[in-house]
Amino acid sequence: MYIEMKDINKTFDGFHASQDVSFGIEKGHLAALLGPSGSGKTTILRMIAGLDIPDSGDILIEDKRVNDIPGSKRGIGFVFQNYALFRYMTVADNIAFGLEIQKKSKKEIRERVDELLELISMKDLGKRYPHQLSGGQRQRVAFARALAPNPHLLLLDEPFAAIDAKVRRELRSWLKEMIGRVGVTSIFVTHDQEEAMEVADTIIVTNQGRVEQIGSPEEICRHPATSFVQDFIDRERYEALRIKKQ
Amino acid sequence: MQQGIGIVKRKNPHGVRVIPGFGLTFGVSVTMLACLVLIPLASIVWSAGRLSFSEFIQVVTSRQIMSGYQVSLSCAFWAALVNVIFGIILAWVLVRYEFPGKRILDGMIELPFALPTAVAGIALTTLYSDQGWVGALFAKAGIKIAYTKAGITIAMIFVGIPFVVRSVQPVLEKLDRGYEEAAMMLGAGRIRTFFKVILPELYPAALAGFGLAFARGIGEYGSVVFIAGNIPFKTQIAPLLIMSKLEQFKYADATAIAVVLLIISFLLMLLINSIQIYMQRFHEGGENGASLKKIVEPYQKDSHRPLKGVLIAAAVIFMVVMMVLPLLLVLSSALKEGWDAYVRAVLDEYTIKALKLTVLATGSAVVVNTIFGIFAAVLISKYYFPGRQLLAALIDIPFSISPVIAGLVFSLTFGNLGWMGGFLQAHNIKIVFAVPGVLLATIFVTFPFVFRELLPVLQAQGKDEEEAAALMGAGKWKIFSRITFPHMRWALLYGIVLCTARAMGEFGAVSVISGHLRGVTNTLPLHVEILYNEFNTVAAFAVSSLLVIMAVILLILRSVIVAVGSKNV
Ligand SMILES: Nc1ncnc2c1ncn2[C@@H]1O[C@H](COP(=O)(O)OP(=O)(O)OP(=O)(O)O)[C@@H](O)[C@H]1O
Ligand SMILES: [Mg+2]
Repeated sequence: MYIEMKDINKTFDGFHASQDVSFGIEKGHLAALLGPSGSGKTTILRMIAGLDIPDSGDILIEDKRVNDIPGSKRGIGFVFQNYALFRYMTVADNIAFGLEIQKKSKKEIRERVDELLELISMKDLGKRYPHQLSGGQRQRVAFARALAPNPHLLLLDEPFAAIDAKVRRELRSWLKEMIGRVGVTSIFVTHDQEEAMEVADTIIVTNQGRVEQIGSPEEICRHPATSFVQDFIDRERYEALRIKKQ
Repeated sequence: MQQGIGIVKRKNPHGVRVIPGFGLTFGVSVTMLACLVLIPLASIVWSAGRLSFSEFIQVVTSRQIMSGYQVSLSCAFWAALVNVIFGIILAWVLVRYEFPGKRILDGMIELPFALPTAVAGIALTTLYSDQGWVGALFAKAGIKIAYTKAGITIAMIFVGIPFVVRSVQPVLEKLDRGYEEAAMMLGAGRIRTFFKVILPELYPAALAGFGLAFARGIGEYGSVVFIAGNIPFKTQIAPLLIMSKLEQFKYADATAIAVVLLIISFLLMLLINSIQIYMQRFHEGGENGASLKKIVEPYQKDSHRPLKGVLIAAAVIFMVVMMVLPLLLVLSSALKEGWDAYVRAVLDEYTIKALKLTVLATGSAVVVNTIFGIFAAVLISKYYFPGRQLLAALIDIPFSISPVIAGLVFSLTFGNLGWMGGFLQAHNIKIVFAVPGVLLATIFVTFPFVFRELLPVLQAQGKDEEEAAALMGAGKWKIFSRITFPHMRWALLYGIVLCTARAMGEFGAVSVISGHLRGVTNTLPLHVEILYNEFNTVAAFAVSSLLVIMAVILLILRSVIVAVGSKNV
């Protein structure tokens, strides 16, 4: 397993946001954290990132316990739900931020920024500020910024939540393709099961702070492990999606 | 304290006014504004017109006047700069850290508003003189502070600090944690995150604070004159030059100096507003306050502990030197010759008379400005009419002009050489150098205080409730008492406290207009000045201690109102 959560517990003022959470994700996989609102998806993601600290349990990345390593040193890329682009920096400066910290040379930084701008098809927009971009463009910049320092693991919190339905579909397949091309292990949060089924190799279903089931989309849909998963997952939609794909 | 009056733009295309009472609120607000502020202010134009252009230029470019501007501007600039640095540190410490005494530190920020400027002036002068608690330390190193530009700058730092803290603090409170977390995930440390990500978010607020502190520094009189020492060509500030021209009855010259100061303040505010509007556009690049998660644990736990200690220490030392020491000094100097001397000074006939006048002036200012504040805030927040923005800007004028200029406009209006002077003399009415002048000047300088506190609250509330009530047939008084008023209770109390604090301590404006007639037109701050200038230090500080006690009571009231009010909203 590339990344493993072992018996993670997390409470906020006595409220159990994560309860005995355990799961593993293999290297190169794209995993989805799927569950209803308030089920603890973001909490799990933030603990992996080091933005929150679990009360108990271990977080392992490549068999190394990272609980005590600050988020800034874990080598993880994070795409925030509202992007959190630095408003007073240009697109290029946003992408370069993480590279500057790695003390790369000016030339290296420029090359990497250009490469990423190319990747997100925004070659000529490097000098713009976030307020001059559309929602979808901001999303892509956030993605490029997170990828710039070559993270081992990419975490995305509801990456499409702030984007309208039509653009969302396009971005979804775009993102899947990009992640495949870069080959980085990724986990994204969603409460849209269609999104999870379409994009992810592995789905982790959460409910009330617990992990209900982990498996491929097929396993989750055809062999729900708990009654919650059975009720929550719409099997017909899955089958329809499969037919559409073929 | 609110910075600037932001009008919520909401077009009313049909021009339908559903809520009754527009005529009344408009009439009262505009009449009061015109009589108490605009007409006196207009006399500046009248008076400036009496100088030809070349005479005007001659006055304002004379060597002494130029050096006055230079002293005022340069000291105010450096003071505002220091205030930006310490203001950001203080705001940061107050928002991000928990430590014992934090509430007290927070409450003390407003001390420069509440403490009468004359008291601050004599306390700072004594503190930083060569024999003073702080001045002596520097004197050993051969550095003089009192009666130099350094002293002027320190006094201006004192009066300006709340402006920066109170404009940066709310922005920092609302700052989206996402930006810092994003920087952290990209590997950034605390320092880099602060300078590259957080600081740019604070620029607009810090700039507003800088502008207000700078403007206040340029216009400030009471807390600066004492420590300045008024050495010609060296430490004479511009407001003092206005004052001395007035004492020589050279009204036109005084006006000329004032006009240049007004133009400088106006241009400054214009510049700062433009920069702010320019920076505003960046805000659309990401929403703020979207993730209101509480302080993230890793920040609290590890690495930046030493930094936390250093910052808290810097904030506390700043506040102790700037605020606590002057207060302690007032009390210790007041009691230097024992309790009996203290009581004698406090119970002195003239002190009691001055106290009575101060109470009268403060009371009038509070009553008049509360009535005005309520009418004007309701008018601007609840009715749509062309010119609202202009009206709000006009109401704000007394806040941004030097108190000495405020005094000047009343002399120009009602003085013997003023445009109404002949009429008043003919009817044997005395305003200048008499009690009515003192009251008018006090009302003028505190004119916008209640209004400024009420307006944002009423604007935030919107007018849906009033419109609903009006459609159900409620009359204007019913709507006001049942709907509008309950929303503004806390803001009203807050505004009254600020108004009281400022009114009881007003010095510059009253000083111009009162003529310093002992037992007749002397308020407590003026009485302090006279005693101090007569080298009756113990009495001066004894009287000051009364004002300090009142200031501290008002500060505590303020903190209580803020605490209770925020729970009840
Ligand atoms: N900092 C916090 N303080 C207190 N409670 C919190 C905090 N963060 C999360 N919670 C609570 O923990 C629970 C799980 O929150 P989390 O944000 O992980 O849910 P989620 O599955 O991401 O939901 P959504 O789909 O709505 O984003 C919620 O009930 C939330 O209120
Ligand atoms: Mg979430």
